[in-house]
Amino acid sequence: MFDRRLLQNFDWRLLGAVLAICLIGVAAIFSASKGYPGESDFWARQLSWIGVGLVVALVLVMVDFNLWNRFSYLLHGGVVGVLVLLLAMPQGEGGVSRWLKVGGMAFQPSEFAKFTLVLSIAFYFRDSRRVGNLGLRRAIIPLAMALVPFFLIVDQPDLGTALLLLMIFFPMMVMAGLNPRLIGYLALFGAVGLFILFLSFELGYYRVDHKLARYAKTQGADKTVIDSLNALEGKKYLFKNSLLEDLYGEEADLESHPEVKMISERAFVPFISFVLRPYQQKRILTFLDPNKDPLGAGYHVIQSKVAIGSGGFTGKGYGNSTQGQLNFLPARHTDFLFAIYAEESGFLGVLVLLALFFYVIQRSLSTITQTRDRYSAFVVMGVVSIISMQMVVNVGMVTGLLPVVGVPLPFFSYGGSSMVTMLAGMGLILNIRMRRFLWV
Amino acid sequence: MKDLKNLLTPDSGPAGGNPPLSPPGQVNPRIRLVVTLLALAGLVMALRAFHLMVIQQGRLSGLARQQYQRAMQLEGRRGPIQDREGGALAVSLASESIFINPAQLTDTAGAAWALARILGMDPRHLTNELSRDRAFVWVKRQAGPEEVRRVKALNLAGVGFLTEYRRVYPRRELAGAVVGFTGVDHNGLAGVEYAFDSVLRGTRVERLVDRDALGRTVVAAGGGEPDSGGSVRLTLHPAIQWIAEQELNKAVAQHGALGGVAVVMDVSTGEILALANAPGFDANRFQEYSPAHLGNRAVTDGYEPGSTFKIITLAAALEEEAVTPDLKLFCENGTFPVADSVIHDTSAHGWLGLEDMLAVSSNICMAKVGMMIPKPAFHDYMEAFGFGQRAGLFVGQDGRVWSAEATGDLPPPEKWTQVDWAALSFGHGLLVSPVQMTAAVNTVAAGGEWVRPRLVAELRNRRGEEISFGQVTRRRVISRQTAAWVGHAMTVVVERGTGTQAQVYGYPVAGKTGTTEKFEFEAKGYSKTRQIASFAGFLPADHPRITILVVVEEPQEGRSGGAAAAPVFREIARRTLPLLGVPPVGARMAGGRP
Repeated sequence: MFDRRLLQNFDWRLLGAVLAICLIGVAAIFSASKGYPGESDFWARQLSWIGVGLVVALVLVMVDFNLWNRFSYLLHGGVVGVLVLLLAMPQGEGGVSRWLKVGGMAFQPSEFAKFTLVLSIAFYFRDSRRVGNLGLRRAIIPLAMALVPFFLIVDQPDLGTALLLLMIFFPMMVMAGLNPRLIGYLALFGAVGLFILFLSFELGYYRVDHKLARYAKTQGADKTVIDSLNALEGKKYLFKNSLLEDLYGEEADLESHPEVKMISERAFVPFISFVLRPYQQKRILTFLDPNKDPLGAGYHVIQSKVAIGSGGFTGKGYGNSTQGQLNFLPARHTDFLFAIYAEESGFLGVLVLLALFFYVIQRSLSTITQTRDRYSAFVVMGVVSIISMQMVVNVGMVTGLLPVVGVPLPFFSYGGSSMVTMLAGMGLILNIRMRRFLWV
Repeated sequence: MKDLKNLLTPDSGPAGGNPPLSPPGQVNPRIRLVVTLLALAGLVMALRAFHLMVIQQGRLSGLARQQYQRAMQLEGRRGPIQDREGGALAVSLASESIFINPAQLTDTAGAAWALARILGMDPRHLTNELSRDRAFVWVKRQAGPEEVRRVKALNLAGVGFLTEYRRVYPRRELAGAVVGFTGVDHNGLAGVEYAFDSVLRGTRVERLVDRDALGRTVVAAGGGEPDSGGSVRLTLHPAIQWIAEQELNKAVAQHGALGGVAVVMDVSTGEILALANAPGFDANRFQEYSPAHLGNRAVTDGYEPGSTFKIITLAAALEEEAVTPDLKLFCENGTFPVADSVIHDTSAHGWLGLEDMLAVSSNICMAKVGMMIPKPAFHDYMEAFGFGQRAGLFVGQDGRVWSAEATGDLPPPEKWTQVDWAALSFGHGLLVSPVQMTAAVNTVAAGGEWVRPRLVAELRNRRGEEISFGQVTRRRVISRQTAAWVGHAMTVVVERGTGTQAQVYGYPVAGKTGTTEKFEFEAKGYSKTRQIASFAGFLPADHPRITILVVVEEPQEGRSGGAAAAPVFREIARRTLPLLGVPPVGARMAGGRP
């Protein structure tokens, strides 16, 4: 089962680069969690997660996955099943059901969904007849593989991870030969979708709910206005003016009522509210203008930008991040760890980290052209997509280029599910690299 | 595109197999596209990092500093003020102030009630304070050590302590007017505290203090520690100061007087051993007193010296040889017209010698003596005795004036009318401060040398090095013989003149009474009822050790200097001399100096 010659082909450099990122991460977690109240052992826990991940990776490196790749669909199906179960289970805090608790440990099945999707897509395109010139009809099966978990995860709700699933899916489809026309359509579809998203915050209708009268009272509205609001309860209007006419009468000089603007804003129900949860709307709106809500959802982005920016070219030195040590950046050992790292190590440190990531990505991708089979090539492409997309999304979000979606920086941010699955993914790539010259 | 198609269409192996994607060595352009896109994304990230961290670094660092740094004034401990023996008159004690970060309290109401009970505050008010949305609330500034200990014992999260200094005057009223007091931010507001503020004050360090997101003070960054202030040691003798204050207060109470001043000066060194103001005040709670009582009137206020000034007139006349010691003058039986005015004596006298003029305190005869001294010469003597200029308690070696002192008011001789000339001879028409008057009388005691009065024994700067201040300064004003003669005349005053109340058993006393009617500005004339009673003298008259001036302001029933001030002089002298180790006449060794 295991050939000694394989060891000669094992890519120690790739593993070394990955472990370097992991250890820089542990150091950054240690510094970032120093200011937490009480004893914080996040760095130690992260180390043990790295250990677990390495064991999983070792198993995946040693076992030739031609022996088990036929279970790809089954694995994916299983994870999708868990996602369905998760939605059926009683919801956790704030109506969120992302975590699966097994024997006192919590997992995020959506983390695993990314990898099972990669494996399934790879297994699907393992058949050369399915590759090339993919139109909508030929792409329907892999599309379904992605869209089913996508909607399940959207419903958790975890928009970030769900969108990430699509972002991982897309390069694999391009590699599989997605029809350029379809690429165009998808791009158009995406653009239109974004346009509709933005527009839908502006489009909506006006509704008189039971709380509006009370709200109007706090805004200082007349008794007649409050009475009519009570009378109109439950009524909907498409235009603001129709509502205001009913409230104030036709010839009313609305300029003289300072509460008009507040009442109409409060009554407005954007269409987007049917699609996105309030916190999601808030996050997207915050992304569009973080300063609008500096202590709410925008707080993270502003603090993170301030932290990164104040690091300067050479950084403040390890353990000296003022924004981090002084608790300005909450939960900074997880998704926003990069900000603390950037503040302490400066632009030079950021370049080192990005160079390490680029080295890992480039070296992994080079495997694609050397690999002996199509399945392996797609797995490599998928895993590299996961790593690179998450990196781009995380760094983009921390630097304020992208909206805040809960995506960890691979190998770097604190988190067991992420660390184990990412190292497992690296195990797959190392396996493929190791066997790339072997024609068995 | 053809190439692309070739690569992606099945090219080898059986249909449905798993052949390589492209021949080894060749790169699939689609993969190249993905790699290019990823590289671009990486580049965007790097550029974004560059933008934030290098281009916007200044702005964002500023934002960061704004968030976490606050400038805080840290002040070094203020130095002590001591009496001549090094005993503390004013010290700064470290005390802790208690503050709270309400956000960290788990049980606001419970904490508020517990704190309120320890600190004696209104629990409802404190609950309200702590319920407000703030990160920092002072609960009690400068709390007592016991309060701090008990609050610390509560072990409440969110309660913090900050060390601040509290100015304490351990001897309370003792020398209160001399020492003065400080304001809340430890700046000297009065007295020595004000005069030597720059010496006593510790350095201020503007320090940047890091605060975390909850407003807690976390790390004090850089800036260094502030230095403690220097020290001031005064010449005041604590026991004599206490005696002077006690006797003065007793007399003020007994006579229902408005107030008073007593000065005790060491004859040869000029050191002020006591400087009493009545009514006094406790600098620990100076806010509770009327501002009018907070000054050191012995230094800052001027009064008309009246008959005590006759000592100066007599000394000047003798020294100038305007009169001879055996001169006799006619005292006009109590009424003497000068120009358009009339001078009165309290009782009618005929022909008197110089000693007797002083002993009965005849204004008429003394006016005659004074008018025998040419105006400019008389004026020069007055200046030489220290009138019309600062006594110099707060003037440094280098001439720096540290604090205001009354110069008094001495009219220039070219403006003297005949009446002024006559009135000046018995101490009217000029203003002197009690300290000036003490120093002038001390000149007679010191054998004719004016000795500068000194209040500061030693100044030390922040590093503990001595700052040279006023050393012993003396200048000859009158000859030793003249001084001896005037001193003898002053003993006659006490032996059988107006100052018999000043006699001290066992010690020969030289002195002079003074009773001045207060000038009433509204009435533009001298009051008949409101008077200033004073007594100036020194003892032992044969070998003078201390000069004492007592001024009692507005004693009731128009009591004279001999009745209201002389007994105070006597009591202070009687109790002070043994403290200084001056033996009474009967106990002296034959022929030896005391």
